[in-house]
Amino acid sequence: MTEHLHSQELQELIAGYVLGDLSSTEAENFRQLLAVYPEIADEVNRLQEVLAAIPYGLADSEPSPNLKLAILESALHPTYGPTVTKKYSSHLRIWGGIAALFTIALGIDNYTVRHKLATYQATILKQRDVIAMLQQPNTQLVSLKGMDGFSNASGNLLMTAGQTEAVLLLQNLPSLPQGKSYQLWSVLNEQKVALEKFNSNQQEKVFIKIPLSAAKNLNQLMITIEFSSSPSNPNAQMVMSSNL
Amino acid sequence: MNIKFALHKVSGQPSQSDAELFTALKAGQHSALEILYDRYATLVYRLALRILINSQEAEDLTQEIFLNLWRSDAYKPGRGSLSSYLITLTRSRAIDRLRSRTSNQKFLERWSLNMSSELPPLTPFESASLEQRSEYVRNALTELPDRQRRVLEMSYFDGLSQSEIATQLNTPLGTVKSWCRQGLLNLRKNLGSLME
Repeated sequence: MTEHLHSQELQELIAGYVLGDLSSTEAENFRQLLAVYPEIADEVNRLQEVLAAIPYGLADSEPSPNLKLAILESALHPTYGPTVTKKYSSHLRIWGGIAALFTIALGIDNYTVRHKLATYQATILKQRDVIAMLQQPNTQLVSLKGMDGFSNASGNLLMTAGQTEAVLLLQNLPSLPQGKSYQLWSVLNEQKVALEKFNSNQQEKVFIKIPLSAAKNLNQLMITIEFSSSPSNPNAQMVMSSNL
Repeated sequence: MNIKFALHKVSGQPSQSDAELFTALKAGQHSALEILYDRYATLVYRLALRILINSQEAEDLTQEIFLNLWRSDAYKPGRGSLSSYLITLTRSRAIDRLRSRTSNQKFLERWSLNMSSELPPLTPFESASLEQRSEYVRNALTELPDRQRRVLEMSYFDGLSQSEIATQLNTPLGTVKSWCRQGLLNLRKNLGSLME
């Protein structure tokens, strides 16, 4: 069949199927061949991917920046139907236009406004993710407590079975100066595995995702302070640990 | 790291495959929708704009496609790549709008012929950035004979049947069919191992 599969006649038949231009006789032949040689479906799939690649050749053009916000907002409000969504989109553009006029009139840096809006939007999205994780019955929480000079620090690592990422949420963890960062470690059989370097924000909070593949052998967690430019040192100053 | 960096890191992980993001999307993670938008909105918009020739309608359709992805379970990762699904759906819906009638089922049936329980590995093409993919395809299209490229584009972007193309070009239907099929097969050849 492999030889048959690459025959010009069959390739053209498959191309005709993918393009949707088979005559009724050709369509019947194709159906019979597909029933006998199901591997033809793989060839169909490959050619469909090639056909679907054609739009990549189109000239460069970008949608307006407002579109992303409109879509993400509509996704957050599932009661919006398509019609309402369209109205919302129009409203967003109108309000966006008014806001832009005010922005120009007042001489405010429009980029800053948009950046803040995008940041708030992203924060809402991350919070929704955490809520979605907490609603899963198989979500596991690993608590972390601060120690020594960091006793006010606390937080959790959230993991959900089947998910590719865990979420690290910490609070009251002072922001480190430039050149230093926190290092999250997984401890298994007294072996420490470096997971993620991070820093807290100005509100002393941490909200990051961690690839779960790196933490799948999780047994115990600890957090140390590192110099950002140096290799991670498991014996560096420990500031938080879990009690698993 | 400040919060801005942390958020950038969360939303910009290049290592997450489309299938992983789609799973996260179906688990209700809005950030997955944001990443998929960043990956594919430009492509969806360009295709919609090419077919509809109207930026407002193209944006409306782009919105419809991503909300469909968010709300519907129509896409099944085992049936093909997410980009292929989004493109097929966009083209179908755009041509429907162009013709003001519904005929997208035919396209989707063709798209979903092959259904596997396992995800195929990523091809080099799927692993490339939008800019790289665009360059690959532009080069591959440029290498096609003019008549093959022209009939492919008339069929793909304008939604014309091959009979309509034959009439417009004053060329026998059989010849148009052959150019179109050869064009697709040659495009595959020109893209070479990128799509395998």
